Amino acid sequence: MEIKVGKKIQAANDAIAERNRAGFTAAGAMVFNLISSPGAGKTTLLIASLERLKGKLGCGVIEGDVETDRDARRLAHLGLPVVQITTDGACHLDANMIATVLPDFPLARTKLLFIENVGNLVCPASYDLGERGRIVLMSVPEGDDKPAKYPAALVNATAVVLTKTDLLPHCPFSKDKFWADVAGVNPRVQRFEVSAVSGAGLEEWCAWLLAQARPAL
Amino acid sequence: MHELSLAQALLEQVLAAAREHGNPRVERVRVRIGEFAGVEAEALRFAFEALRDDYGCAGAGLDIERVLATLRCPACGTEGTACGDDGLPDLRCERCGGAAELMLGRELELAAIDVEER
Repeated sequence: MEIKVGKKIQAANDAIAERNRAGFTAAGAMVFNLISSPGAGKTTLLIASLERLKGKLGCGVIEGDVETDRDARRLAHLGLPVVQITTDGACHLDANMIATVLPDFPLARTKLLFIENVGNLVCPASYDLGERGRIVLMSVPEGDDKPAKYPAALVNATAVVLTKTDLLPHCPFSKDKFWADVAGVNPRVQRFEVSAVSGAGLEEWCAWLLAQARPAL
Repeated sequence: MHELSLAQALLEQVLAAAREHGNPRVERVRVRIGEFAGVEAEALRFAFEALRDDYGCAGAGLDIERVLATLRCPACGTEGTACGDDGLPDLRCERCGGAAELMLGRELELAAIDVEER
């Protein structure tokens, strides 16, 4: 006998994500979920960005890693609210992990909140955390074929940031091919090219972030 | 491997559906996985088969319907697939080249369960 169900497998996660989202909206916080492979430069870009933004509006970070609090420690000198979630093996953050740390997070004075996801271009794409936007980082050394190989990560992205552009002279990387493949998967996505090391592109990137948070101000 | 946590969520949904109908034995579980759901179907099957006994679904089969992406262009109304000329994904309208919307292709759904007749 068939019983029709028609429910999303992720319904439980999505319900918590919606509650998170409602909480963020009520607090006026613009929340971004940062996704990339391990080592693409999420934490480094966050540090460079927050050094420029922290004087302008309340910022905060929720860090996700499989092990250690090293990323949270790297952010500590900024003097901003930073919470570390260690997943003890889970390859992605989920909405419940975020919900668990929110009660202790000073959301009322956070206008721009970054959730730095576990380094992984596959699994985080399947988990709504309650964020307003997803930012996908891909770095020059990873190669220009990544957008075509990881379309599920890009389909829902608000912005794609090509990082480590200071390494372009040393890598066989075609920006034309890279952005053409990004356009194929997500024609409307915002695009940025940055180097946290040289500072290239950071001004434009931070200006965009500020503009995103402004309606929340 | 997130297919393991997805399989757990799936089996919890299966149990909830069965519970609503008096807890009959579950014989088959039918899911729909979209092309852009970011889920590897056979990994999900592996995880399902590894966990089903723990959820009282020993021997239950898993049918996976793969849902191909369907695009709809908001500008010109054209519908099409998301397969580009070179086999790579392409979410642009095949007629006008504008950004198309993904109408189908992100599903991660428990469609139905087949249970033992009483």
